[in-house]
Amino acid sequence: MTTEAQHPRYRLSETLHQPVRFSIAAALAATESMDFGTLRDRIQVSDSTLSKQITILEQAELVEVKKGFVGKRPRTWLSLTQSGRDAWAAHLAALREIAGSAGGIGTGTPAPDGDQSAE
Amino acid sequence: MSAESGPTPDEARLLLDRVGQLGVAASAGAGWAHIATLLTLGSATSIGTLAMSMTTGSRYIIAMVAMMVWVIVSISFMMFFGRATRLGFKKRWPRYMLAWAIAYVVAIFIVSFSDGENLIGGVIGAALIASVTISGAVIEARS
Repeated sequence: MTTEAQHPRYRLSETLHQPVRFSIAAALAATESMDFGTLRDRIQVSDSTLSKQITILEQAELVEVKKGFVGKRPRTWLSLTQSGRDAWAAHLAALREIAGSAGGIGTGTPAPDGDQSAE
Repeated sequence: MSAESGPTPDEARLLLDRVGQLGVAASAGAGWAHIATLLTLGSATSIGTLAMSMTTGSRYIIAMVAMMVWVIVSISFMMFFGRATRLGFKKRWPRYMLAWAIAYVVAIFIVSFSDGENLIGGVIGAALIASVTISGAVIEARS
């Protein structure tokens, strides 16, 4: 049994920490919803990359995808789910904690035994 | 990333800076089409109402048709160019539309009995519509 407080890196979400997914969450968290093309341009990735990462976030129930039409053109709307917003807030809180900590924290120190959860 | 090797404090700060930049960029471009639609909807219906309060017959119909054309244009504009919405938009938008609808119904009610001669009623109705839509646009722009 350990009496030490859990290091904030254990509260980081592996799903959200991946660079493209991190950018997706950052952009979607600042808005209520955004269409696929606008998000792609904002975070500067290809359609296929964005589509792949959105699928992962959707499967994790962090992002909601709504498809519709404007005239004859298909349009896909993306937004963070409530659990997505909660997970993003927790992820940012952990990052802030790491950023505010003195040297030595978050530098790859092995995790305490039996505590491997990243999410 | 794994729990074994989280970001360093410097890396975490860079990530947080990136969050700030992306957030500003994402929210800055959001909502402008909806604001434009609110203003166009308000101007079209207030001026249209004012015109209808001063006319009868075919001129009344022309004013009404012109107003409806602009209403359709403003809503189409939002549908085509509204590609991102601001936080809380889903809660605010129905309120804007409800306020506009109430103001419009009141204005039309006044105008309907004016027989082209109720200028004061038309002005009051137009001012009511303009005030609710401009207020909505300002609230949305500041949110």
